[in-house]
Amino acid sequence: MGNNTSAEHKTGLAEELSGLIDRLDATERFAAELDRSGKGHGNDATRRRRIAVRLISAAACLAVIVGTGIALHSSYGAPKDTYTDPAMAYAEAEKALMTISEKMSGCADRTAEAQNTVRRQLETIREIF
Amino acid sequence: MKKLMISALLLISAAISVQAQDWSDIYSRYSGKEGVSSVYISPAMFKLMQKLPEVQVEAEEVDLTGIIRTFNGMYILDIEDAETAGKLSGEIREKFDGKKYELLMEAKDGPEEMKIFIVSKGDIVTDLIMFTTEKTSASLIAITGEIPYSELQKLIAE
Repeated sequence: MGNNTSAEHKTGLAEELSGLIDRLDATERFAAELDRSGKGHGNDATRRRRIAVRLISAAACLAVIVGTGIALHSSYGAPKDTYTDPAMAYAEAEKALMTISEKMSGCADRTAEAQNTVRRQLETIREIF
Repeated sequence: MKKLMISALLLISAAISVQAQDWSDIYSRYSGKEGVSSVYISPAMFKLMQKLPEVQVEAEEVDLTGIIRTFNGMYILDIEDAETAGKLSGEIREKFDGKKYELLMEAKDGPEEMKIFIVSKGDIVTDLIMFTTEKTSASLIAITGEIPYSELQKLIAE
């Protein structure tokens, strides 16, 4: 009887131990799986960040190069002054401005004439009605 | 990221095209051609003009010193060649089709057509352009500066 009890105990213990070992193994596998998937996500994010930084750097370099080209073109591509004497340049500027003034005054005079015509017509209409 | 790159490239190309359409570019392309008289007065020359002594000329009714002191660039093109005048007219018409330029005045007197455009920021006119065309000729006066409206009104009154 005693032998049977101890045999039963041994079997029960073996089963328990076996179960414990299985549970520990499963837990370890699950933890290993988690660890692997975590490491993979990190790599992708780092790679994407690196690509983004490189692209932004390339865009910034391009902008600097183009901006420098435009600035150089502005300074070296500008036409030469027609006059070297400021008094002559002033006379030319005055002449151009007189031309503009003449045209603008002409337009203004014609507008005033048209307004007078309209006013006279309106007065005639009011008198009739 | 693709959208950012495309936006950056579009902005750069827009900046380049705006630069290309500047008056300096139009002036450079037409000056020196046959049948074209051109005058350019640079910002540096306008600064030197400000150092000129003020001379009161009694015979003159108009005092334009005040307004000239607000200029910082002037481009004048006088074209007597029909083909070149036509090309410039086409280019100017395209340029003024946009919203940037405001038509201030327009007049037709027989074969002559005159238009005056401005670009302004608040009460300050930064660009004043007069473009006159006839059958076989064209004339462009483009002035850049910081011209107050009050000074511009004096031009009409004179």
